[in-house]
Amino acid sequence: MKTSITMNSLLRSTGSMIVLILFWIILATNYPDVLLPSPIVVVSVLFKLLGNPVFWSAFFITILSFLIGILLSLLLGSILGIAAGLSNKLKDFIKPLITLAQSIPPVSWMLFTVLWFGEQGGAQIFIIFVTLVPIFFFNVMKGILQTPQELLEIAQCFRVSRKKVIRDIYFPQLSPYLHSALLIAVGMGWKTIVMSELIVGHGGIGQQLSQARVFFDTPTVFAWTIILALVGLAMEFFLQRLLKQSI
Amino acid sequence: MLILENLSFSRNQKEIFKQFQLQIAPQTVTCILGSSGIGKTTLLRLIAKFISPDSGLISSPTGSLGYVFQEPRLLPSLTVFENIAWVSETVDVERINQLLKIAGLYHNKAHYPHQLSGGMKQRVSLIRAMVNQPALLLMDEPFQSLDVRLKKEMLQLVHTLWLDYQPTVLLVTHDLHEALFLGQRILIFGNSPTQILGDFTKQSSAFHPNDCLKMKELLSES
Repeated sequence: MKTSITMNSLLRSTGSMIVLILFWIILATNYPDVLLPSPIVVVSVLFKLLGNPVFWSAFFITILSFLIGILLSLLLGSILGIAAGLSNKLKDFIKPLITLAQSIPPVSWMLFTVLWFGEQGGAQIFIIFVTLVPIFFFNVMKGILQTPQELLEIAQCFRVSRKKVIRDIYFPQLSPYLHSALLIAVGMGWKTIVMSELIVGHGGIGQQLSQARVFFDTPTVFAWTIILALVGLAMEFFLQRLLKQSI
Repeated sequence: MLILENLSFSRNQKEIFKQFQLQIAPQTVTCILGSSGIGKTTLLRLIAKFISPDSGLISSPTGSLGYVFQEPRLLPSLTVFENIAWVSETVDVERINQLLKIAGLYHNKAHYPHQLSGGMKQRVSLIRAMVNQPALLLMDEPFQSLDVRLKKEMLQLVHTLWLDYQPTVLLVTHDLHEALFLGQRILIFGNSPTQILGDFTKQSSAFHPNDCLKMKELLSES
């Protein structure tokens, strides 16, 4: 019964994708490639890209900046979130700064970083970092603030070591909050890094997209877009599986 | 000796204790009875230093403290054994196993809290409170959510464990029968700010019948 429900759902999802591709094929016959290339043209460009070393170099630059940005924001966001969760005084001090950073749109940060960092790299990582730090900060702080007081009282009463309290009370408590923060951050971070590369430049998929756009090479823009979407989906899929296993 | 001297404590502008005095002899079981909201739990929380008094002095016996709360408060991610070992200063596997056997939980030691019944969880919480052989054991209505049969079993278990090394026990309860069974001294709290309305001590093996009558009278009044 469960298998047939899953199969039906899979068939419906595949059906919607087929309808979309058919619609795209029909629409593309009415327009030149520069406006709307057909899926066949896009797929052939995509395979050409995969065989080009420039593709892999751009791909790894983006992935590397993305990973460094995520890790740095996870680290600082979590540290600040823990500090703010444990101390009201620190919360009063840190929260307005993070709220301010969060309220500035990533595109503004992109323009600032062009001025501050130039095009010599580091800007993309900084943009990811300031965009994602608030996500980790608020989630971790919420997790700490919602730690069951009754368990902390047990620890206090029995004079349980700080190490045990962190490992057995705070860590299991924080885990779901960190998981959801990571999922949001990966989705948002992946889109932000490409956007920042597109605006700031200095290599990466974003810059490849920008070049293709400048040369009106729409099939290449489509091919990169498909790659970006697939990588984004794959990252979320594997992260979700990884997090499920860790529970 | 547990000594409370000139203890004052207010909450939401309501005076709960004012210049409150109490002395508890070591290695005795003292039961506190009184109506809800009179300050029984607050007194235990003050002694455990979860909250600070506005003024006054609390002098507790040296050594570790044990606390059995109204609810078991077990860590959901740890097994029965791990929950007990978690509060142990040095994990004495033999002692934990021995306590688990006394409580009839030895075969459940690898179970997680969600796999236990309410009574079992409360027994784990009791063993956890006693694993370090605390000089002072605070118990806050630990049997209130249990049915009559489980309550009887728990009372017997507390008595058995107490005989092990005889810690100073302060038990807050609503149930006079519990107090009569376990207590060597029974205090009845009343009024506002809280005062000790009755202070009764067990004579040899039981409380004097007149004292029992007086206790019932005070409890119905408070």
